[in-house]
Amino acid sequence: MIDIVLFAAFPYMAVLVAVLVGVYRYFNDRFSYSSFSSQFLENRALFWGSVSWHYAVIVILLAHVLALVFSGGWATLIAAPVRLYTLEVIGLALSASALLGLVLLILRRLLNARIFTVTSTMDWVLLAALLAQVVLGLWTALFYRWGSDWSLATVAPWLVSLAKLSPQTELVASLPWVVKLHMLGGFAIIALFPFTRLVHLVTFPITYLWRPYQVVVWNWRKKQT
Amino acid sequence: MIAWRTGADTGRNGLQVVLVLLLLLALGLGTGVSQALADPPGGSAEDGQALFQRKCAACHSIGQGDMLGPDLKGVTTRRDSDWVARFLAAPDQVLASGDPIATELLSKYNIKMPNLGLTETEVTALIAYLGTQAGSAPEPQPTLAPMAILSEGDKTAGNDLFTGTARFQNGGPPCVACHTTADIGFLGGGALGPDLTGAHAKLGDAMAVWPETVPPMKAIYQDKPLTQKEKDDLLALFQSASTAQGQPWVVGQLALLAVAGSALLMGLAHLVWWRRLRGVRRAMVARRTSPFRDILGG
Repeated sequence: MIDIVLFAAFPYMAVLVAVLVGVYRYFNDRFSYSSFSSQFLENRALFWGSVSWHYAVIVILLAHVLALVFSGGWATLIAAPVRLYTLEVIGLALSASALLGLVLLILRRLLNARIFTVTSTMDWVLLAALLAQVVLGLWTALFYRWGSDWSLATVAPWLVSLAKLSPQTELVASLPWVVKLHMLGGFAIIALFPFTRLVHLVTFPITYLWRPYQVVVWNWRKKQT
Repeated sequence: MIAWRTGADTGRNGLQVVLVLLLLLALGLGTGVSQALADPPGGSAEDGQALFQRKCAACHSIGQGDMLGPDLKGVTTRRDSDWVARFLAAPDQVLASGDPIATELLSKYNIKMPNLGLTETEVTALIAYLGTQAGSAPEPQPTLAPMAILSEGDKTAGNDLFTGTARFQNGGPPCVACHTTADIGFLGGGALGPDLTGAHAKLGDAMAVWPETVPPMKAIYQDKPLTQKEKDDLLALFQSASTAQGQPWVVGQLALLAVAGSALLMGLAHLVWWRRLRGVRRAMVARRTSPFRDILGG
């Protein structure tokens, strides 16, 4: 019963909340689809925090998605121990960078008076959720090795079963609690998405990839170097 | 109007929406958690059934014939329940004490039952469950799948299967994803499942039936069973595996590598963007506002 609530009902609820509230917010408060940048107010700590956090977490998220979508290819990739170790160490280094960046961003919001003033309650909720998620992920990677391998036979088919609308919770029911919390945390963050500045995820200017090209003409002489 | 706005323009309406939705999520979670806390494993037959599936079903059936160990249908009527309780709690001690039944069982099945470290409550639950499964008399049943464990496997092939260099024919994940042994070098195997160093000495060939029968492996391997050849190869590996304990401290090594890698990435960021924070204005402001501006002559 508890497995159904946590690993079937909760994920669906989280995605539903994300989509419904996300659409509502888009049509009622479109201007708020933004990261609410505070770069004007402070940019030194922001640089180290934001660069470490974003580059690291984007690669890690990408790895999660790739392992899920191309499970077979991923399994081949890590079939030799050397490749498995390399991949895991890269993942750990990126996790450590993400954690460092996130801690810097949190400290910046706490300690800088100007930034503290423009921080909403939901910002704190989001930062806490992200921190918990990164720590749980790092914990899993360190103490429940090798996640990039066993998740292919447990978490990946569970997520696929969710997508097929026939949840197989028994696949993840016997994983350790830290791992379960990491999975639940992922869906909790999806649920938080439309309530926080996390909405800036969908503002990434990906349309640059297919928009018509533009000719840029400089109407002054290029500086001689 | 909406809570995602920062600072002063945060309205009450939006905040309420957020709070209600968060409350709903929390409620969902809370129900689940309280349910889990409400039924701790007790000594009931129902708990015993779950326990049986988890800890006994690998080697014993109920009414399906002998596997590695005897069919347990009617065991509570066949044997004194006090004896069953003692044997379940500590089969190794009962056998060591020269108990005639245990000795007879050993000569018949040729495998020592491992001590499963069951608590008193768990033993009670198991006996309660076995009691409900007693039926009338144990009907003679044909032995279930003949345990054709020949152990003539190839340990090199077994090693490849264990480490994932060779894939299981039916697509099951390699052992190394969750298990390690003393023979796996550098960072070792997985730590999600138990360390299998010396496992064969303790559990014997029974290990071969575990993937498909024992949770949590069962959920993973029941549709992707190992072939008999693969089992033989793995058993050959386990038989020859060294039993020396003492893996290096992998977590520490990994943490060090992570910190080093992270420092490398930070250095890289500094190299790529070193100009980014060097504005002209900031240096001038710093000079004007520095408490040492008189000394520095700014």
